[in-house]
Amino acid sequence: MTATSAPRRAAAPPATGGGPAPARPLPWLLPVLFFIGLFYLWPIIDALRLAFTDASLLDREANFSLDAIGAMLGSAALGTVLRNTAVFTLGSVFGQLLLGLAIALLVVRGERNNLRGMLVLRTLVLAAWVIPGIANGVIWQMLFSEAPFGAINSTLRLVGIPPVAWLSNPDNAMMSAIIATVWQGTAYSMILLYAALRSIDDTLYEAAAVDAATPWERLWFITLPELRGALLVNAILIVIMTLNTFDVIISLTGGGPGRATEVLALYAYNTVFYNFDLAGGSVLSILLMAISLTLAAIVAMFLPRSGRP
Amino acid sequence: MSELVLDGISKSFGDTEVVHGIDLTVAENEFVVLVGPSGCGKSTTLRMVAGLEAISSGELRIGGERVNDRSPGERDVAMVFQNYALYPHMSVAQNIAFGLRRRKLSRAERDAAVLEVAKLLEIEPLLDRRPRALSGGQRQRVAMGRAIIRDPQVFLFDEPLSNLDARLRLQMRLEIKRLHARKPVTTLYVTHDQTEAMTMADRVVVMNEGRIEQAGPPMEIYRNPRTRFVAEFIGAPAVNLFDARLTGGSDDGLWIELADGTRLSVPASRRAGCESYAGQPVVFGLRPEDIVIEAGDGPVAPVQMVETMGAETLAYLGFGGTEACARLTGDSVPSRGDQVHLRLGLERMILIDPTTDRVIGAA
Repeated sequence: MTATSAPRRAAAPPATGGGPAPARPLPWLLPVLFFIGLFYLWPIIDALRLAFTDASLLDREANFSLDAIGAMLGSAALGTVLRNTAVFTLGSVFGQLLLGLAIALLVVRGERNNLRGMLVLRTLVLAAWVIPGIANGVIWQMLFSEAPFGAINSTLRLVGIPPVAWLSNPDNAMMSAIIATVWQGTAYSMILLYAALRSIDDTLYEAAAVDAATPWERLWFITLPELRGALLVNAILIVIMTLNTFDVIISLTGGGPGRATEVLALYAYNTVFYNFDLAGGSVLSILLMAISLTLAAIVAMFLPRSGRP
Repeated sequence: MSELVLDGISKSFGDTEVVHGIDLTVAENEFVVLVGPSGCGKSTTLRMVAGLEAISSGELRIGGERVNDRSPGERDVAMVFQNYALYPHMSVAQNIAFGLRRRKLSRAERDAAVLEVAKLLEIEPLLDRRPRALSGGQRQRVAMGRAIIRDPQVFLFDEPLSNLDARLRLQMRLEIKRLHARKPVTTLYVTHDQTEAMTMADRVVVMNEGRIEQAGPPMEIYRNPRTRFVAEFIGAPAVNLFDARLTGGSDDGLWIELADGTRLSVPASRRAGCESYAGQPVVFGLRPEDIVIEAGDGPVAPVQMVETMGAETLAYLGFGGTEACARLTGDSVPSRGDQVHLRLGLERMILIDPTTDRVIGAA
């Protein structure tokens, strides 16, 4: 049987894509190249140029210098900032993935059982995502507020738990920043994973049901392996988004107390706009980009390759 | 004992009842095929047996125990799906072994069980592959392996061959039958293909619009259909049906008068059942193999179209006011336009009462 069903067209050259490539592709690519160049490449190259100067916001007259690179990489704050960034990114990404997956599983399960209100639930979760980061920070600042009207603390007080210093205690501030970011970013993961969950073949679950699989086994043997691609793509995207986050933090804690929540993106922002150190900010931006690209490349290595599961 | 009993099983979606009180007993190790057109409720019935659909009313018993409220995994049934539903990220061996994970087997015992099933299905060389690297026929075997290894009380097949090409379908049909002969299990098999039903079943159950039209051994269903639906659905090419009238002669018995005026004498052996229909319109049915071209004093008909198939030839004849299909064996092939004499096997004719669509004289 294997002999009759084996493919027999080994002699034909493999097709390279959908149809013949145009003889001169450049004119077709030019508009895309132009816009990518203008809005992406040029700013990156300019930041790279500025990193090798002594430019400041007040004095655009820039001379070649390696001082900014030395000063930034040697600065005492960088270690703290990088550690903050790592904690913030890891916490937010895992939180968003887990919570997003949990809600997506809940919604899909609800829909499968024809439960009412699933559309409303999806919309509500998504609503968090359309709130701008700055507004999100302000909202959570009010919730976390340690004044008598602070929503969370007054609720805690109602059930007899002593108030928590959400933002003023350096040990809690990072957790609060992560909570605010996860709350907002969960919607994104949820929608992506929801779509991926919906595309899993239902008969796999039916086969598993006949094979007496428990809900955990179904999650472990079917759902998670089937979601692997979506989870990884989702992880790449939110790692990059989270690394670049500074709007939530600037409005929630401003990076404080002290440097307790100052992440790399915020540090770069502060360097340029508070210290007027354009060159230093450019060095930090390039560093941030390098970290993003490295992490994305690492995650991408685990993506399922076509033709091999 | 692993007898499967459906006792008045019904299924409703909201207010619409789609399966109306199915009564069916599949004896131990019997191979029963549920056949019918799409939408007749056969798949829903099978899914109720598997536990994938809730049973609206009636009782389902497996091995004498009521299983209505058990989950699919607790019913000790195995199912082969139309799209095979193999776990895509597991190897063939892992797919087959999946049903064993709850039995406390050592690794060696499990591997031995997988190997035994793989040998039975001739898929040993594929054990390390992933499902996507398999052909349709190979996937089909793996799906069966996954079911066989569990040694279930009841085997369920949901149109397992309809995703295969015609040639492979024939081959797998034979193989499933061979497998069942070697390793008998109580089996319920759903298909829309009457050929599959005829060739594979110990007993065929024809369903239509959520009801069982007739159940019986294949030849019984073929020769003695109880309704017009069964007569038309079973058999390929389909039975020839003619509008006709039964007339009583002045002295000698009964005649069938076709729309074009042809008069056929009802043979003495069939007279008893239909005498009471004398003078009434009937539908007269004749299987294609009961029309034979033979010189003699039979009716004459023009050949309108000929299909040669090698071992047999289908001739389409202008007869009885419509077109009739004759299945001819032998090498004498008529050509289009010929006028041929027919010999009709009237002892095996099927007479249908057009007011009830029931076959006259059927039990």
